[in-house]
Parts: sequence; structure tokens; C-alpha cells
Amino acid sequence: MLAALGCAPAPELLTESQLSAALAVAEEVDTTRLTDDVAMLVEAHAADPGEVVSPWDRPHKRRGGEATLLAAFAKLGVDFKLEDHSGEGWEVHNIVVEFPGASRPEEVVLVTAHYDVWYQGADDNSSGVAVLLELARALIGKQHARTIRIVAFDAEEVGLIGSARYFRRHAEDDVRLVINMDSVGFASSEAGSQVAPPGFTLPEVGDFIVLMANDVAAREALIMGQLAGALPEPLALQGAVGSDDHRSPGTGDFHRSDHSQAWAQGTPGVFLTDTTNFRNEHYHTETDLPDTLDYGFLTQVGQLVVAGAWAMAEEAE
Amino acid sequence: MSLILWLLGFAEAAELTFAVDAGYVGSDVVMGGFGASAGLRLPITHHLSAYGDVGGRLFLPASAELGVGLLASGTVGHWRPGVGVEVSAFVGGRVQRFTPDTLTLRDGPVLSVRGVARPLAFDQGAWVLSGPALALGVAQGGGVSFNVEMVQVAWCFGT
Repeated sequence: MLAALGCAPAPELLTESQLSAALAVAEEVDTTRLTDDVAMLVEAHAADPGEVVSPWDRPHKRRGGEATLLAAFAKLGVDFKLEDHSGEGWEVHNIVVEFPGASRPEEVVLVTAHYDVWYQGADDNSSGVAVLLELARALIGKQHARTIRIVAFDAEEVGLIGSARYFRRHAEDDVRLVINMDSVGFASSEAGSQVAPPGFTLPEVGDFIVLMANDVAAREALIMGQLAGALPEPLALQGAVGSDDHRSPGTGDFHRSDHSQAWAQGTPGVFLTDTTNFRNEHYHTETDLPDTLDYGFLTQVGQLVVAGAWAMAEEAE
Repeated sequence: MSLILWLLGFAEAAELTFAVDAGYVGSDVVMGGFGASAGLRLPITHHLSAYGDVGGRLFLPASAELGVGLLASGTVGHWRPGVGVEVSAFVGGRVQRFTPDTLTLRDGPVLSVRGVARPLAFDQGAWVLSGPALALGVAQGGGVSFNVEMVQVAWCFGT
């Protein structure tokens, strides 16, 4: 009877001990480091003249961020590689850092963000890349069952080129979840600061993170929601799980980042975003600068991503 | 004439209905879109009919909308305005919403109860043409549910 009314059995979420273990790793996320990393990346982009790419009439910047990110990973002492996906007129370099799983290394939890920007790109997407660095720091010296692979994608802003080529090349990988971040540092406590895409409602105060998932990641999406509510300072989260991998006209906005390429393969994926232009007036402008970000909010998102990656990497078989 | 006597007037012919419409439900589940519907309207009395219809929806993930209802209609010349009540069920593709406080997803049909206003219906022989009509109400989960019918054509058959 309950099933007929649509009250499906609740999926199994994290136990108290799993929750505690994930949150313990997430506690290592540090606001000062996130702040410094965003500033470092923005400085690198500012020094990079970039390239005005048709049809966009603004500077697209990649190589300054790439060099800075490679140097940052080198400084951390983690193994990283530059995957060359160049071709068809585009020089494309994805940066990959892998933390092999101890017992099931073939099963991969992928945590991603794009590093290319327009102008200096503080929120979009130095915020997401800064979280990747925090995740790498948090994973150093730890053992987990599954592999956690960090990928910083190139050329997202010009058509998801880096991620499309990455997922094409790695189509046979056993990816259990993709956690993609794009613009995760802008929040506002002002009434009316948030608008919603057509057909949807969102709270009018833009102080929450949005999580979108395809239907094969429904359980993982709920676990991310569980983690958001269990953080030391709970993170407001609006979740949306969609059928048909959100391929309908009304969910076109759900595809606006690299996770879309994972969804296209039917790979489970969740996407975290502050909703960019639905909240942030600096989106894709030269005023997308570090002092517009909310670093407390970014820290919460960083904790959620670290906890989520850890929880998924420690999932039972 | 009392309402009861008015409703108990003579029954008329059944009608097959075809409509161009849009339906939407927005609560913890968001479904709907634009589409078309087909249905059957059965007279109970001269002024009261029962109906059922099914429609396809495209815009959000593809879904279907099923409805059953009662429609009371008056007759002023060829003008047949009506009001009613209906229960609808959305099934199929959806976007399911959740927060850390509501960690559940709804897989089955999403039910709604709606009031119906069909002010611009006109009959001519075996045909009834209806202009914009609105059904508005509350969905399971507490959100809004509506159906906007741009045009409906009904064909009367039987006696």
C-alpha cells in the first residue's frame, strides 16, 4: 500500500560509525588554506593573458592555473600526472592525482572540478579547485578501500572538452561515483538573492549548496545530504535527483558542468554548485574575485566533499 | 430549481475528448510539461458528468498525467460553462527533491486534488469546443498542482 502511494523504502544511508569516520576526515578541511589557495589560483589566472576564443568575447585562461596547480600538488608530495587529451584543434591537459584503494583499487571514486576560467574565476572555478587541493591534503597517509581519483579538468568553459575526452578515454573504468564541483564558494544571506531555473523553486536566500544527481546516484545523493546535515556546522543543501539523466529540456541547466559527461555514460554522478548565475552577479565577469566569496560556506562544501569521497571510498562491497 | 433537481436533469450523450494541455506538479517531486490528452466524459445527469483522461507530458523528464473527475455544467444557448473537481496522478519521469531534513525519495505516482474551471465551452451539434480551462490544486507532499488546457475538442456519441 505504501509503495503504491509512492512511499518507496528508504535507501540505506550511513551508519553512525561510518558517519563519524567520514566526518573525522572532513575536519581536516581548513578555511585559511582554502582562502589562500583561491587567492593563489586567482593570482595565477590574473597573470595569464589567456586567449579570447570565438564565440566568447572574453579571456579564457588555463595555463597559469595548470602550472600553479601542478606546483601545488608537487609541493604536497602526491603522485600526479598530466593527461594529454589534445586534438581537433584543442590542446587539452587534464590533471590527475590518484590515491589507490587498499582493498578494491579497481573501484574508483572520482572527485572533479575544472581549472580553466574566464578572467580570474574565483568562484568559477578556483573555489572547486581549492577543494580538490584540500581533499588531496586530507587523503595523504590514509588508507581507504576504493581508489579516490582527483581530476582537474581543462577546457570546461568552452564546451566540456576536457571532461568529454577524459570520460571517453576512461569509459571502461569502474567508477562508482563522480563528485563534481563547479562554483562552490558564493553564498548570500540577503532575501531575494536566489532565483531558480524555470519549473523549479528554491529558497529565496542563497545560502545553500545545490546537489544534482542522476537516478543511478540517488542513494549516494541522499548520503551526501545526510553528511551535509551532520557537519559540525550543518550545510544547507537542496538536492535534486532526476530520472533519464536529466536529459529533458526542463533540466538543461542541470548539465552545465563536467559531470554531464559522466551522466551521458550512465555513470553515477553528483554535482555540487552554488548555482552560479542564479545567485552570483559576478558569474563570468572580471569581478569574480576572491573577496566576493564566503569562505565559511566554501569550508562547509569542502568538508562535505571530503566526507563524501571518504564515505564512498569506504563503502562495503 | 434546486441544485439537486438541476443536477438530476436528463443525461445526454457520452463524449470523447481531445485536448492540448500542460500539466505540472511541484512539491518534493517536480513533474510535468506540455503535451496532449485524450479522455472520455460520461453523462451522469443532464448537468453532471464524470470524466477520465490520460495525457503525455514533455519538458521535465517525460511523464504521464491521469485524471478522473466530476464536472457540473450549465447550458445557456450553445454556451456550456462548467466547474468541477478532479483527482490526478502523475507517473513516470521526475525530479525528486530532498534536503538533509527530508532524506527520502518518492518513486510512485504523485496524486493531486484540483478544482476545475471550464468557462468557455460551446456546443454545436455533436461537437463541443472548449477554450482555456484551468485545474488548480494541491499535490501530495503539499506543493502546487495545475493543468492548463489550451483547447479541448469533444465529440458526442451515443444517446
